[in-house]
Amino acid sequence: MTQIYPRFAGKTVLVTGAGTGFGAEIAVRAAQEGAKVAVHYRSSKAGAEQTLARIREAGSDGILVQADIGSWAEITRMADEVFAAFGTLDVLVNNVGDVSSEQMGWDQLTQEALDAVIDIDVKGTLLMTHEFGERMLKQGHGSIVQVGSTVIVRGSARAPQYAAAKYAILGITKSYAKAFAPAVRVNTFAPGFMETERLLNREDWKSGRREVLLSQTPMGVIPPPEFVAGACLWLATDEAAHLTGGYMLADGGFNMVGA
Amino acid sequence: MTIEAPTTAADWLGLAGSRVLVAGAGGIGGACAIAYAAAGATVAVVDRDERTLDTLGAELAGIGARHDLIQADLTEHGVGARVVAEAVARLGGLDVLLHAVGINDRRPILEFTEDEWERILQVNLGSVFGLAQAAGRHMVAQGFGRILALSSVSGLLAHHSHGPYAASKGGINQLLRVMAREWAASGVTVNALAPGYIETPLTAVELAKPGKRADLESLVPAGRLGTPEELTGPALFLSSKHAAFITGHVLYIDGGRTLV
Repeated sequence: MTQIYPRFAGKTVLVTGAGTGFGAEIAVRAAQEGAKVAVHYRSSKAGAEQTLARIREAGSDGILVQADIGSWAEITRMADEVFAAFGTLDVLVNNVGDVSSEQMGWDQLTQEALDAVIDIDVKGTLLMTHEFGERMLKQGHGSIVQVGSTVIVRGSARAPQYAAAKYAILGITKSYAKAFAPAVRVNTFAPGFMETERLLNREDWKSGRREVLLSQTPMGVIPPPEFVAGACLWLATDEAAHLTGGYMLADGGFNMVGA
Repeated sequence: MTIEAPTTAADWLGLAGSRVLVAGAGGIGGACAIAYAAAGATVAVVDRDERTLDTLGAELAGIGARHDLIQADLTEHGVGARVVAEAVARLGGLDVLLHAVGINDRRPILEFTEDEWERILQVNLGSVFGLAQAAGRHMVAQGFGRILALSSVSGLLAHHSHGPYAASKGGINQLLRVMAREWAASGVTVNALAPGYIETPLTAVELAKPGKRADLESLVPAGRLGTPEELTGPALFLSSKHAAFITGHVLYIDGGRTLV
């Protein structure tokens, strides 16, 4: 029987967008399980510092890295920093994503909102996977987890560009999983709605959307992000050694209703 | 609702003391029974074949695991309820069901008789209905449970000469998803594990054919076949508290086979 705890002892993990929400919980959870963590942020510096403080409270350590992941040059610089600090990188969690949270209906689409989500989710995730995956291939091992969404099964009438971007992540995952096999695994984790600060503050959430979604979630719960962070990281463990190119939903059954 | 940080090795899965029924003592079922036992669960195993049961029983005894062996033919009507009742009585309850019973007959569809078709459907899919329905009845009443069944990449891909087998596995996926939907609010999760090519007694004959192993390996991006032990991690994970919000999912464990 494999030793399964601590799952990330002696490992290094980079989580993008770890200054807030789900990314912060993934970073802290990895630290609780023994990982040294690189906490990426673009503009949430204060949040990233708070995440790093929580990582240290958990008895581990880490670094802060700042980059705009829409830019390959900045990703390359960040990769240099991470590999210089850690020597190797075992796990990359591509958590950064834009959900067009101000948009309340398909008919409110703007050119800016479309470009932003494509830049961050599609270009950013592809470039991160490309640049870090290439370095992981050179070191001979690695695992990349993309954070998708249950939207990959159901689509989004609220923000179709968001669904389009998350579907694109499946294409990125499959393509690079093939390209990098067997040394580096690439999988997508697809959570449902989680009560992150961003969601709790969303206009529609406060005016009835929460109740609608609860009624469509067979398990009857919209969990806080820390409830699913462990499941996300599981894809990067040795227990998932034979999984690559796939996705795993953790949405309380939301995908089954109306998909 | 939160999950505390793990503190010890035994704590991580939280399966110590869980009561687990595994259907299928060979191959993947056997490997999972041993893994559940090693994680501190008490395990009952049901199989039609007494020799396979005894072999696994000796292995479980070898690691000092408390276990029960139940001989039964899961294709008989009413046997699911009887086996679940027996497991509940012997284990003192039931928290997890893993269904890992399956047969295959690799021939083109034009060569099958209706009897042969029905036999595969009954063993692979009918027994899931009988056993999971009985387990679900118990678990819904107690407000907690984990049900897992072995699907396959054949439930998604159109493999030549796999007609009845593919139909049975696709059927398992949809049966489990509806069970997941109906039982979600009762704390019962229902998921499928969908392996690619795994080295088991079910695939041994096929793999022994000249060139077959290399053929199959060339279809797997990971460049190799999987082992039954590689199914144990996913099975135990989906049985644990960490997977409490995962239900109605078909998880592929295939080294990337479905990408090709």
